[in-house]
Amino acid sequence: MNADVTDDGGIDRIRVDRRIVDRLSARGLVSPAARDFALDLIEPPRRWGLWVSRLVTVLGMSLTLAGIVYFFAFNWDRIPPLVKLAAIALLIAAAVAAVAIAGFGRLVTDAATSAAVILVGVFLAVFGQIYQTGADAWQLFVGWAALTLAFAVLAGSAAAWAVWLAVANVAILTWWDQTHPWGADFRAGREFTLIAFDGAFLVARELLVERGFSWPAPRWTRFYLAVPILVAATLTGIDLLERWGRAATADRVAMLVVPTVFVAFWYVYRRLRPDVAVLAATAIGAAVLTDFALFRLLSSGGRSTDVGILFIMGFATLGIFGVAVAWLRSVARDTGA
Amino acid sequence: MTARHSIEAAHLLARWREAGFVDAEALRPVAAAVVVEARHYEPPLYLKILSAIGTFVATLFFLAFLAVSGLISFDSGTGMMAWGAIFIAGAIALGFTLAKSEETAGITGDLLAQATFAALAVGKILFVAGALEHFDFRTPWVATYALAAVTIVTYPVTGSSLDRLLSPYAVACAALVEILSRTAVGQATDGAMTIFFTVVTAIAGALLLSHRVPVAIRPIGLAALGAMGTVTTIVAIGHDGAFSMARQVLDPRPIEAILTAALVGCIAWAAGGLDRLARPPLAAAALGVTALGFAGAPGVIFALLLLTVGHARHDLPMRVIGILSLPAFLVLWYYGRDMTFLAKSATLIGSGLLLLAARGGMMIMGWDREDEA
Repeated sequence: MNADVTDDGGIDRIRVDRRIVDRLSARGLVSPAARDFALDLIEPPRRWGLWVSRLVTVLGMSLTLAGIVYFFAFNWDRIPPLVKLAAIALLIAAAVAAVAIAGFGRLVTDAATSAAVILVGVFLAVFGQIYQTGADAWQLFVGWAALTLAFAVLAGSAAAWAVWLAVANVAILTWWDQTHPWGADFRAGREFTLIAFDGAFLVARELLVERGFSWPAPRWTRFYLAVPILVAATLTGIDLLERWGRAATADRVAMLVVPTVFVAFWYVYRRLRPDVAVLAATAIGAAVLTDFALFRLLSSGGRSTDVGILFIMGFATLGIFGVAVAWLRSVARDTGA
Repeated sequence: MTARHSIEAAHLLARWREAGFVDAEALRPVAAAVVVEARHYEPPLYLKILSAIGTFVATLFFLAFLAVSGLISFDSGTGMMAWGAIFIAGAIALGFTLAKSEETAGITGDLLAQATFAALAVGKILFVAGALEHFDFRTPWVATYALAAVTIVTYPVTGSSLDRLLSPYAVACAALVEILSRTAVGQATDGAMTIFFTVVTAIAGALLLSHRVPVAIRPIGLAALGAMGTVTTIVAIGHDGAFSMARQVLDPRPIEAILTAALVGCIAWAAGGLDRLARPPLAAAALGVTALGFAGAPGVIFALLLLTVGHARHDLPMRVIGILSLPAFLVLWYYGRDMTFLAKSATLIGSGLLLLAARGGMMIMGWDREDEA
């Protein structure tokens, strides 16, 4: 490397990403072959054969499973109850056998474990339909989550955990919906439970990654857990602002929980484990809440909305989101994201 | 850390030099260009989303203010167009100020950028609404012309890549509405849809697959890709859904044929040229795509197109959209076909087993172990 060139304009401190390579190529400064060479250095090689084989595996399994499900749906009334249950049990056994043969930590294992978790739910639903157990929906989902927890724990697969967490979240939602009377405490309580449940798993995820576990390490797993927490906190905050002045017991707790969630996310993902994508989701929730709070304040709790308030809110919204964008931009620069 | 994929510039230049891509003479201008390009910060997708939400909400407040205050008469098309033009001119002036002034970096720059984007959105909405009012919304192509006019005027001067994506996409959607539901093309809906789809496919291909295309006009390619996705969704929904917009049964085969040809073309492009299709793995892939084309699954082909282009271009958002759209289009396919449920499930199982057999074939031939196609 020519020392004059590297000294030029502080190039030693510059990092080149795909955008810069594309710009150089578009300006004709480097050839398409040089661009591809650079992109292979910047990102992992494309390995088309491996990529296509994975795509074909996932697509083939999805189509076959969907076809089987549709076949049963079409012929449902004509299939004897025992055959229905046996067929689903066989599919579960096949998924477990696939895991046993292929071993852990492979794409096919992730797909088979996820399929097994889903099929247990299908089995429970069919069982409930045949024998008319009279169980509520929340009991089905709680049973589903309880029975498949061992699958998720043993598989050590992020995909299986994602399916399990979705089932568990639906179990929480349906439990609140079907066993609690509607009201302020119901709304806040339901969101708090989701925040606590997903929050516990988010903490566990961070601790496992810190201790060197690789399967929960992909970034999407953090986002998958963080977004429902932030959505629940934002909805609780909006609900609280909507009923400002008519505070129930849960609202007083919400006044503490909602800011705590946002501050915790800011502290952890700004200071301890910088992650701009999670901070962006946090900023969106915080900006929406701030905007709504200001609107409620200016319109005297929603009793009067005059022209001036709409005008002020237009600029205030630009200001709130502009500040959020500026802050995130500075964080992104600091972290190199 | 959440660092975007990147490497040190000095390291890249050294590797280019070693590999013979850049000679000693060209090294200095390339290094200088790297320094210049590094100064231009392209915001990540999440910043654009945050900015777009803010602009959307602010635009609603401003439009509500204009409506409630009575400053603008919403009964006068000319008045709305004039106000729209004023807002657009203001946004352009603000944009120029922003681009030229070094002092508007940081928070001031972000606030001004938000204000510019919001003014542009308010101006465009007022102008198009005014045009519809002035020329009568029943007159064919008014919305398309008005949107095209404001897009052509603002595209070269707006710095927002989101605006550059959304405005051409809005033009394409307006044209699609004219073709489908407003019968602006009379009874020639099938032919007009085919021409429309051919044009947007050609634009997307020309602007997204070439490395020589200036970055500033690539959003038009993405908008064309979005229009392709919209048409594909309409075709995939089938007769019970959006086809009722046209009040006649449309023939999906031309769209399916164009999509199939586009995917085969993309495979050839990713492999390095049409002649590469003669190689066994790629010939098998092209045959598989053609078979999929005959199966009448346009949505699946479009999702594969996104995945292929996204993978080849190292474009993560495109890959994510491709992954998400694949199951969505599979569901649409299931509901959109005029087949019995039994035939549908047999087709699904058959095509699934065919793919798994193809996977087995790849393993036997050793194609799944190669590093590069």
